[in-house]
Amino acid sequence: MIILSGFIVGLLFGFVLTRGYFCQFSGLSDALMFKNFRIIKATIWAVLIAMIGFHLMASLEIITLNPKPFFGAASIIGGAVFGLGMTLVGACVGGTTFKMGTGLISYFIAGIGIALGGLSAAEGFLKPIRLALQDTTKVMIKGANPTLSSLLGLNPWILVLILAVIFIWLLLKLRTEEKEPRPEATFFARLFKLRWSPALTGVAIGIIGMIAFVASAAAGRNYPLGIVEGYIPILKSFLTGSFTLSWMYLLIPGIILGSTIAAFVAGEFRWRLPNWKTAVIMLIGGFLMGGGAVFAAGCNVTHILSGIPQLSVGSIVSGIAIFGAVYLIDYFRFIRKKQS
Amino acid sequence: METKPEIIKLNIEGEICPYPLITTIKKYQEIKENLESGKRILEVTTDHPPAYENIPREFRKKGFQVEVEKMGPAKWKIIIKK
Repeated sequence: MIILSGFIVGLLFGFVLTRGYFCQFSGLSDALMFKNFRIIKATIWAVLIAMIGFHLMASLEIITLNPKPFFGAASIIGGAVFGLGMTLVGACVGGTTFKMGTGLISYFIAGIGIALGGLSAAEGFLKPIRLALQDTTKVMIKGANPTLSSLLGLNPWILVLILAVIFIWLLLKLRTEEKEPRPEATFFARLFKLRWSPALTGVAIGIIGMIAFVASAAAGRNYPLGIVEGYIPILKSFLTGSFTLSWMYLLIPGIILGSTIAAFVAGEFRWRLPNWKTAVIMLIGGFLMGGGAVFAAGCNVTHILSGIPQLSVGSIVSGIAIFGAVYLIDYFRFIRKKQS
Repeated sequence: METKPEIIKLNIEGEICPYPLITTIKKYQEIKENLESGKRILEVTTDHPPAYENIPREFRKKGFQVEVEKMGPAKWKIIIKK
């Protein structure tokens, strides 16, 4: 019964993602092309809240931190391949999942690609390559997955404090100078119709992450939010006919339903079919995302929203690889041409 | 009598992010002079929320008037004129 909390957390997460249009890929494009740092600010808020929240809960022994492994080459290569997949799909995994809720069939196709790539790398033909790459370059510190704390030999709270100061400084620096005139609106309109602010979106995601950690741990999976991890058992269950539900399994349909509700009420839902070319690109891009995520021990949600707040070195490296790849690809795709 | 400005329609529905924004900027660069002189108006139809959020801000910064009309569920028309 506790695994049902996965569905409920999914509902909340999907709702917030859609209300805030929290897609990290489109957020990076907005920043690069228009100096619009909306999603970057929301991400910083989410990581700030989750970082303090997770460490507080760990100190109070409500949860035990569980950072992902640092796989060296696999974390970097997997992250970069994941990033490449993102540029084809035009969204991150959170974006892919919540866009399904807006009626875009192309993102359902991307989701199938993600599941196929993920399952292939987790248990299929890519598994031997993955294990070879992961096992040969895995880095551990004192028999545990490395964190900034174990790497630098500092009490984690010192790092939490330093990072919190840096995040707050960044949030102040990225403040929009010209305050956009906020339209007169009812509470209902602000909640369901108008785009949520970066702060509201980020703080809500951070809190949902904290709830996720407690709920998922109670259901036997000691980790906060993830997404690709949920696609894999869903595909497997359809292929094998054996439907074993889990917290992560139920998170995904929760996100999709939460997104659908949010999109519908905001007038952002419409069934849209892709053309054949787009469908193929979505499948391939999704496959790269799913496969890359399993090589790197996680997708962008697992690393950025859940791993970095735990000060996981693997998540920091994977996060840099993912968004470094996206930045480089988008720079050569768009920015250089724009300048000429 | 002044001739009415020519409306250039750009439909970017269904484009994969970030192409809705790229395609709009490309079109703008194509018709830049006529747009700035008021001879032409650019009407962009999109289903991509970041477009109706970023394009108005960007073109207002360039000195254009921008109106956004909701045409239906997940469908917006962005009208850019001098």
